[in-house]
Amino acid sequence: MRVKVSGLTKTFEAVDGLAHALQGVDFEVQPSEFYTLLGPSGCGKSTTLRCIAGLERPTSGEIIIGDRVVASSSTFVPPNERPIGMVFQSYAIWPHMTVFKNVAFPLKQARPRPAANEIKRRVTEALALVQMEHLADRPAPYLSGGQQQRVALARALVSKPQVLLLDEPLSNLDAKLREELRLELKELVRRLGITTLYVTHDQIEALAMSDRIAVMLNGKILQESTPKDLYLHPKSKFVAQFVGQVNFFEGTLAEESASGLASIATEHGKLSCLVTPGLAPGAKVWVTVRPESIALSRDGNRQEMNVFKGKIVKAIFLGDIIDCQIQVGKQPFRAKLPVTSDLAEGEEIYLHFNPKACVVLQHD
Amino acid sequence: MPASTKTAAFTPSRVFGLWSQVRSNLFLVLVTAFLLLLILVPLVRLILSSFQLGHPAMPEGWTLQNYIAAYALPTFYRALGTTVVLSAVSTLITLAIAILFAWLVERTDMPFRNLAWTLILIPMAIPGVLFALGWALLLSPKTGTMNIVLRAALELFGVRLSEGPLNIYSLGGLIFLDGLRGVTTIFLMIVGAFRMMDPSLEEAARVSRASPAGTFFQVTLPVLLPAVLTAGMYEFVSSMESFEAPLAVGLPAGIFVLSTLIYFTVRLQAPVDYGLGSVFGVTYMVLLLFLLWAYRRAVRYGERYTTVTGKGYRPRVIALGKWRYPALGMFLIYFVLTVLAPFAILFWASLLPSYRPPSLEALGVVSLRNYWEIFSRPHFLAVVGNTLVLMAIAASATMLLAFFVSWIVVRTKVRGRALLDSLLFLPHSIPGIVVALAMIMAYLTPPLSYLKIYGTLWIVTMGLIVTYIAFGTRLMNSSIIQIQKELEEAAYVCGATSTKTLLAITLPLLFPAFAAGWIWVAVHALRAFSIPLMLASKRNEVFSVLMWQYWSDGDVALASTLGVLLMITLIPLTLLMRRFIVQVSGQQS
Repeated sequence: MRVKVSGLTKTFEAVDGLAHALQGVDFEVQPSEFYTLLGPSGCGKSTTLRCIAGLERPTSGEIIIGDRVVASSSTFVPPNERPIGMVFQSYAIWPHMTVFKNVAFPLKQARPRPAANEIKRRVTEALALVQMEHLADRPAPYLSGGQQQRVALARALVSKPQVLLLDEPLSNLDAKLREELRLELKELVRRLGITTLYVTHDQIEALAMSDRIAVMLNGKILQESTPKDLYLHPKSKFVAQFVGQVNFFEGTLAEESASGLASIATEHGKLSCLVTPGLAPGAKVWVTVRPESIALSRDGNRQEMNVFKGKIVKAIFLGDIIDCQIQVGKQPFRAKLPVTSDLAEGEEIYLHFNPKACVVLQHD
Repeated sequence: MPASTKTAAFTPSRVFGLWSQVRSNLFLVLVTAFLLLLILVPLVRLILSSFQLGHPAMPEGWTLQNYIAAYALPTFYRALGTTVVLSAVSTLITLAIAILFAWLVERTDMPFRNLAWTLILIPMAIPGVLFALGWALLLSPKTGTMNIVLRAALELFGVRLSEGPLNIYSLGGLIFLDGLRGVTTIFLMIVGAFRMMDPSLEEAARVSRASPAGTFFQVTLPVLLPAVLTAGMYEFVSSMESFEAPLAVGLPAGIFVLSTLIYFTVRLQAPVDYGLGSVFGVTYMVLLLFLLWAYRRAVRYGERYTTVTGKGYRPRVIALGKWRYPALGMFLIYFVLTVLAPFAILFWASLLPSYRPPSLEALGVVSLRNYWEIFSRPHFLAVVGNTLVLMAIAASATMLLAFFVSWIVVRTKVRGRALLDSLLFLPHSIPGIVVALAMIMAYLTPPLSYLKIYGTLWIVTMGLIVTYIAFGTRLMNSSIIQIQKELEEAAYVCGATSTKTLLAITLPLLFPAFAAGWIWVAVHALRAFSIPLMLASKRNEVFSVLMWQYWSDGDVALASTLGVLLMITLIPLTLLMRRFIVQVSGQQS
């Protein structure tokens, strides 16, 4: 089922006047799509999700689920009448009920109420989806974090909702379990073909799970794209920074060449980069390079490569890579080296990177 | 209330907007209206009545006459002076004992600390009026058992007295009673500070080369001072409100405090003077509101430099050496003075046909007859019935109102909810005697007089709800806050309506707190004294009022019998309830 959000705003009354949590959010989630709202805390991603759930009433704007307008200036459908399932950050497993009763709760709200054996069958089915059927009779307080997360998921799915809302469901788990459940969750919703809205502040989670990602900041969507496109072609400094690590430096656009590559003057020398159209020669720009796109060597001869000269300030061995801090003039750079590299701290070296790995952004 | 705010899909006009506003908040509107009726109307009525002469139902126009008369009365200033002196001196006594006990329990190696804790908690279960009556029997000048013993002892030294040497019917007697009564509460208020004080503060002083004594006076005491001072102010305010001891042993000696002066003016003197009583009531209320305001400021100021952290470590323990057992002995003496001695003498009195001091010959007429006899007394069963009904209704109504109001205050964003919350706290700061006086004024005069509840059990119930609702909402507020909001939201997105959510999720999760609060109110309603007495009529007498009737009619035996029955019920109930409440809310009751 499709979810369409347009012109969504939400204003809270704060101690010092009004707080504008959402300032015009628009997006559309396609049926069966896994759509992620990514952003730092306070960016409005949770508020957006809560507006879709009906837990917050939008100040203005429209929300459509399927063909039904669930929120607009004249309509507000309460959460209990929306075709949704939701997993909360804290899981919100009711401590006075068993696992079974927790999962059965949504079914018991349906009118007409299903027969007892029908409820039992569907609860068992939902618990089986998350491999929790053996713990059906356990009281909720006796569950581990991972188990609570599974029960919350079963409860969200049991009434076969059209839309699944997930509010940072993995953030309360330890790193290893999080990685495991990330895959499991993605696999499960893909198999069920349910439209999923996912909220997280963890860029790796977002990249790994989503069909599309919207990066939010200060109550607005900055960029919306597929994980790969977002990573390779960020449209702003914030997005580039928030999704992965990145090196920045300032420059001036000199001229555009035929091949889509342009020459950019920086304080470390001339660079050749990919340019987004619409920038005039003479414009101030940011050049960005991902640490993994940078290669280091002791000699400076590489064809069709940008080359800077620098000095390794620090090299930290992380197991899978060596994290290098390099000083180029006054500018610090980060680069990721293979662990087989024999470069050492204090060495004068050359940095090479492919023009296609350089993204040029408008200066803010 | 996310689930109930559904607006129709056509263009709302302004009027429609207002109506839907009222309709979606109908519940809030109703609850608020009821609480206004319950709390604010009587208080306003009391203030109005203080400007009227004659019977409040047939006033003779507006006048300042009452104020002029009241403030010209020497009795009023004597009562005010007595109240202040009594409160100040008894507060000092209470503080000294409570600090000593808290220090012994938390910072020394005194043996049987758990026993000491229990000994210090039990006095809470003894209603103030029984405590005072017990001591009246022990220390009345002629027949007081302790005086008889003391006289016999003095005779050995050749001193012959016909009465005394001690007299409970005196200011000294009042100070003694009030000073001992407050210890439990103040102990509970400061013991946490003694326990939680960060030992590294003291250790830092020690390694900075301070002596043990220097450490105590330069670090320990100043650090604990805010806690001790606020507890002292609290005790001073509570003493200002005390009514039971001044009634039982002050009035017979002609010693008035403000609370008994009001009781005397509107219930005992002939003819009663409501106008004058109202002036006393308003003055008393303003005085206490001011004191409580000062107290709140002090608490906030004290919290600013809280060095008492929440970690549960037991700080450095001081070895008492040979004083370990004498220290424990002080707790035993305290227990004897506050519980055992009054209980024993009341029990003794309950075994006799008519009171006489304990002696061998009196032992011959001892029997349990009074305990049978009491059932054949007129009204007795009706009074028990009244008491049970009062307990059940006051407890249920208080906790339900508190639950709804707290839910509104904590969970919704309705405008004015903070005001509602503070409105409910107001009666907490007003002495019971003034609440009762305000109820009298409100329900004797139109329009509320048409409800015809003056003199019924209902007015007593309402008086009790007004005084206990502050406790109820405190308990419910903190419990609802502890229930994660997402637990309710999860129910909404699972398809439950807000009513269904309240019933299926919120209330079951709150049940322990709700039950604890219910029991708390029920127990307090059972022992309530000042409000039922002020509002008493032939039709609405409850247990404690009947007991007082017997006592003031001179029937000490039957009064004692009722007193013993009450104590036996209250001691286990109070201890259980306390444990329960501390468990569910982490609050001290």
